[in-house]
Amino acid sequence: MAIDIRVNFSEYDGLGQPFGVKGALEAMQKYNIERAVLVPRMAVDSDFRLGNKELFEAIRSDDRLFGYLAVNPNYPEESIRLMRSAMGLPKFIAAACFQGASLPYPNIDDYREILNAYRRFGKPVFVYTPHAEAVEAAEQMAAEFPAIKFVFGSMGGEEWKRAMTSSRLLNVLLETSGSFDAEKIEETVEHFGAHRVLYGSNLPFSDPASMLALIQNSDLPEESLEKILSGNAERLFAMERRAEEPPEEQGAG
Amino acid sequence: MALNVQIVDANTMFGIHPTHRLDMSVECLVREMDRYRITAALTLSTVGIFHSHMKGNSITLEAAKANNRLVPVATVNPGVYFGSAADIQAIRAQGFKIFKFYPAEQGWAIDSAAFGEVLTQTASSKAPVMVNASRPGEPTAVGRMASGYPAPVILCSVALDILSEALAVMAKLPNVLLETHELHAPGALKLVADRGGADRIVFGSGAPRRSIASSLHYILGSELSDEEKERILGGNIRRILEAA
Repeated sequence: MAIDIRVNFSEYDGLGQPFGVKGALEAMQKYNIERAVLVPRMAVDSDFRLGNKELFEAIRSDDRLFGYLAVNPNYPEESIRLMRSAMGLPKFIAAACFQGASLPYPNIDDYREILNAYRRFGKPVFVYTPHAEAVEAAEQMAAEFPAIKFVFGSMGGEEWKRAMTSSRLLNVLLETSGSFDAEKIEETVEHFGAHRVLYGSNLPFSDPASMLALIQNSDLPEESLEKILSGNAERLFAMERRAEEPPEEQGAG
Repeated sequence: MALNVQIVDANTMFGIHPTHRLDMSVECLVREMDRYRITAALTLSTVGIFHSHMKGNSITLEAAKANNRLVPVATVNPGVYFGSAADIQAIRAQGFKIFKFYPAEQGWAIDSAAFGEVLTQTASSKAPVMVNASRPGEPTAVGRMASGYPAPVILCSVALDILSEALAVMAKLPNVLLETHELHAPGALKLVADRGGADRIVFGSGAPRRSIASSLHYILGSELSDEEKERILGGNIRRILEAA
């Protein structure tokens, strides 16, 4: 059983076929994925108000689904208001930073105000880092907010080796999607330890089969695989505890 | 692995990679082939990609002579190539059945006259070619250059973001095929098979740099029939090499 911390919630997949909750759950069943954390793609790509709201409706419908609240640095005050209404809900397990305001990728100048307000929730932050520049910018965010745990999504993409130096920041963890280099998983564990690496597929733009095969065919011991595939996510996002919390009564918007 | 099929990996390389510290020796490649029961691999030296195609081709040939599971792939860098059709014939005569081209890695444009000249020369010996076409516009450029080409043209490194472009090219040109190592989107393989036919897809991994496990499991777990998977995993590229 695995926990996939990077499943995109969108109406359509990369081929223009219907996806949504049904598609996510079908893929989870096919690949034995017990729980998934959904990224609200609409909130990331365009409308963060509507996108987060639709995600909330999706994740409250199924115990196996959790979600990221996508915040928008172009609207810091509204993002903070949104965090206040949503981050107390057990199903929203982290905030997600996917784009910047002054730069195309998340960076400390654009997110300082939001992160300041976010500290009180005690939950992690997912930062999208598709290349080396984004990793460098995310490092500055993690360095300035050491009490918050940061998950670097896509861990630098093709330039994942740049993310290895982020291991010096003890509040940084990596999510595995982004590239399929043969040595990536072993080398990442060498730098970060298996306890700071989390499985993510980037479904439906990438088939879980590919990333699961990369991880499961690595030379890591069973104990490390268990951590990467599910244990770390369970602990980081306190999923067990959150699943036991009473159902939400408020909305996300 | 459920299928009992002779797998041929159409996309591997060996040698030192300039930007990655990684064991990419021939020995490592063969070890990985053994691990995933890959029968044969089309391969070439990184020296040919990143330094000199002439030097690289001779290293590739040597490696293939030492191990008959390795199928040598020739490469030519159009940016520094001043030869004639006779030179291409000479490369073919050394034992190379197929050519591969690296525009992004070597910094030249697919629609350049220099590459056009190289293709005219490889066409004269009806050699199949593989072209890395990873950037937007590149599959289209390959299509323009390969129109009327007398042998198979294989698009390599096509990911989801340019798949529609590659499919549009394949729809127009029946001699264009697709290599799989950058394909990971659910349903993408089935879409290509439905649109272009499973006969026009060849399995490649990018090993040893890329994971064979990731590329292979993507195909094995797809919705295609066993017979289609067999063709993709080896039958199609074997047919091309036999005809070359």
